[in-house]
Amino acid sequence: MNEILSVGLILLCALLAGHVTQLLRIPEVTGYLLVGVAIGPSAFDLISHENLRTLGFLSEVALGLILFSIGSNFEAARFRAVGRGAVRVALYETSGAFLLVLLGLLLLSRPLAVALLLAVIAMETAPATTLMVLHEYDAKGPLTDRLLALIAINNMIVLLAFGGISAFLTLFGGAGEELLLQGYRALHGLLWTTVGSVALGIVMGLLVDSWAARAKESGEAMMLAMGVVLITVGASRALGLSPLFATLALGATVANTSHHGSGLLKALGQADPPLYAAFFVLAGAELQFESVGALGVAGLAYVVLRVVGKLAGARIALRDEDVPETVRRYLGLCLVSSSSLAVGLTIQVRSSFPEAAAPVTAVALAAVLVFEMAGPLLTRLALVRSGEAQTEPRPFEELPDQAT
Amino acid sequence: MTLTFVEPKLLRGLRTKLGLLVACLAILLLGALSRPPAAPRPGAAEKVAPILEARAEREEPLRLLEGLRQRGQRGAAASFALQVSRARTPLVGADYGPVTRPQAPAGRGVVVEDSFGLTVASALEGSLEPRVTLASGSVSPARVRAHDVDSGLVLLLLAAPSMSAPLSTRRAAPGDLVLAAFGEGEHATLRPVFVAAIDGRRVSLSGASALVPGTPLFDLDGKLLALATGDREAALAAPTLEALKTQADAGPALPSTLGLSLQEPDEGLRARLGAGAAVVVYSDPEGPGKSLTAGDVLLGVGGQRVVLLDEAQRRIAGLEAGREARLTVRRGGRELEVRVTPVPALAYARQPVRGAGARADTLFAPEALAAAALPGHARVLLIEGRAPGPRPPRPGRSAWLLVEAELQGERFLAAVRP
Repeated sequence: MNEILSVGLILLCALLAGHVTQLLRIPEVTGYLLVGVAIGPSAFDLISHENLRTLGFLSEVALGLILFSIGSNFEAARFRAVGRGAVRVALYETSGAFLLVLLGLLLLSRPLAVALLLAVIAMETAPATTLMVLHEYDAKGPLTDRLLALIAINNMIVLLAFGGISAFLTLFGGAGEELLLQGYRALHGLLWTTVGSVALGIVMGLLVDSWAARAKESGEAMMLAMGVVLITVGASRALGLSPLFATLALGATVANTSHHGSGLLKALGQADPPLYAAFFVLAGAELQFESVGALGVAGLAYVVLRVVGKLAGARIALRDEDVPETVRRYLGLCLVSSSSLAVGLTIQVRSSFPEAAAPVTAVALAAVLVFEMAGPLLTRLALVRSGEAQTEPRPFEELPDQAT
Repeated sequence: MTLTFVEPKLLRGLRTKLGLLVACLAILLLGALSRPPAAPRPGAAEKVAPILEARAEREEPLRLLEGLRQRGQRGAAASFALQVSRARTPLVGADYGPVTRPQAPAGRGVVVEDSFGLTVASALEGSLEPRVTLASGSVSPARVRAHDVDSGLVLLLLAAPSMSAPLSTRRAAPGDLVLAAFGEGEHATLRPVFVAAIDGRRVSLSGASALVPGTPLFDLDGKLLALATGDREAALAAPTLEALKTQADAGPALPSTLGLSLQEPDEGLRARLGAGAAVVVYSDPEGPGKSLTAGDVLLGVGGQRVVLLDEAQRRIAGLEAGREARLTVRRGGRELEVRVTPVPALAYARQPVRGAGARADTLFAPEALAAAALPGHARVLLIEGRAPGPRPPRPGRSAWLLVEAELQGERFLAAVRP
């Protein structure tokens, strides 16, 4: 099948899945993913591996837009309200997942490199899936506010931690180069992907700021936003920066410099749906269903420990915080999903640490499948239970928890 | 009208923004300039190795294929083109003109031994003395020496010897990948075809809709497997060639035919007749067996009783062409003797028209002409995608057929209902 045909098929299948999920009361994202699995190479193979490779850029663009929109929540005034708490929760839940997975895998006598890399990947929470579910249910409230901030911070922590672990492994598992050069390389890599990416995002954000006032029509605004996001993603790739950091920084810069940020986001919102749908269908098509069989003991331990680590971490972080009870109860559930970033990290592991790649890939990709399916359902559950889902019709068995 | 409260933004003022921009650009510049040399990253060698291995793996089949192609090409170089000169061998009926294609060879064949060539009957279009264009480009007259009716293979004796080493043959098996030789001699190219099934001395091919009759099929070692008959089938070379040589050694006699289409009698008829025999279901009205009619039951050939269809066909094929023979038939409850003069079976061999989806059940030329209201001396070129041939029309057939005929140099096209 050629690419144009497959994109058309993806969009129509996604639309169909959207209708069906409304009937079934499950998040659209899950429907998209399932459709992706169905038409992907795992099942009917309507979209081949070849198609997935050529359409990979669509996913990158969509992820860029998603992170841009998450970053734009980082408005200073708003951030001050939830920011500190979010940082705290993010630190706790990531460390919870990291430590439990690391210890568990070491106890199962996996090599240190494998355990470390998997532990880092376990820290991640999916930005795209979560944002999509939030949008779908028009979620509003303290849980939603915290969740958005939390996910952005979570992703930054994951990238920093991955950089750190990479540096550590490069330094100590090196190929007999001079220690000094290796150290420099590791440090430069870490700084370049973080500080450099943020700098790129800020530069592009300032460009938007100076231009946004002139792009008043929604079409113009869309072109501006789309163009800038594309350039940011593309430039990050060309410069070896992290597109994730750069687009987050771009969103944050726009939110903090320009009064037109919300207009841009609104304009983008009109263009997003097909792209997001394609993104999730493609993500579903990339899931390797046959890999679940190969999950094994390590995989099971990874899945269980990651969930426990995240839930416990979030619980502990919120124990003494002054937050509504719904946040305390349900924030952890919203952190279970895992997706594109985890896959991205796995791909990076494959190229940077080929000796550890096989076990890491096997476990991480199978686990992504599990979390990608379970995550949106859990997020939806949390939103419905906490009463923050606005558009969801509430049958009486799902009355909001009255504990607050 | 709605009023919007505009919050003061964190980054205000041109100076702040400019400062930030400069700082960020400086960071990017500094970072890019201070990049460490792209030294061998850990595991670089390991990363390259599988790529090289994969490439080698990819190239291995290509090398293999090239070797096979060259070996197959040697076999293909022995192939030749046939030119049939119709003028020298009168055909059974004047209306049975072949479809002439001056630009293309009538068929192909392959030199199997010093002065022997192998081709199929349908490539000869009734000619017993075709001309052969060899790989060298030289044209040599040839003469039919033996004909195997089962497979349709024909052994030709070439006037000019061409190749010293005999071409070896092999038995084909279902699923074999074979290479069909297109074009002749040095210009021969090979295309893959699969052997789908084997039935007696015939092979059905898959992936070979447009093979010229007589196109040789080689295996990957350059051994001859079969010759295409032109209708998605091929004649097996391996066991047949020996039989043909034996036949050629025995004498010049070729299998004969009476232009009859025989069938096994049905149960009721067999019960009445006692022993089994053959029933005539069609008799070519211009053919050597025209004194027989549909419904006649064949009881004896050449004075000997026949009880099986096989036997009847074998005995008819064994009659000497041109010499009168006696047939015993039962017609309407009476047994009678009929005198017939058989012709070589080759005279009836016709070529399916390529690319027209040849059909087995079509009309005979005279019937087609009558149906198309054309005079009997018109020449039928084509009946529904097939050259007119000695195959009986299916009883009860009522679909429209397309008849193309030539009359005084003009071509007529008519849709007829048989």
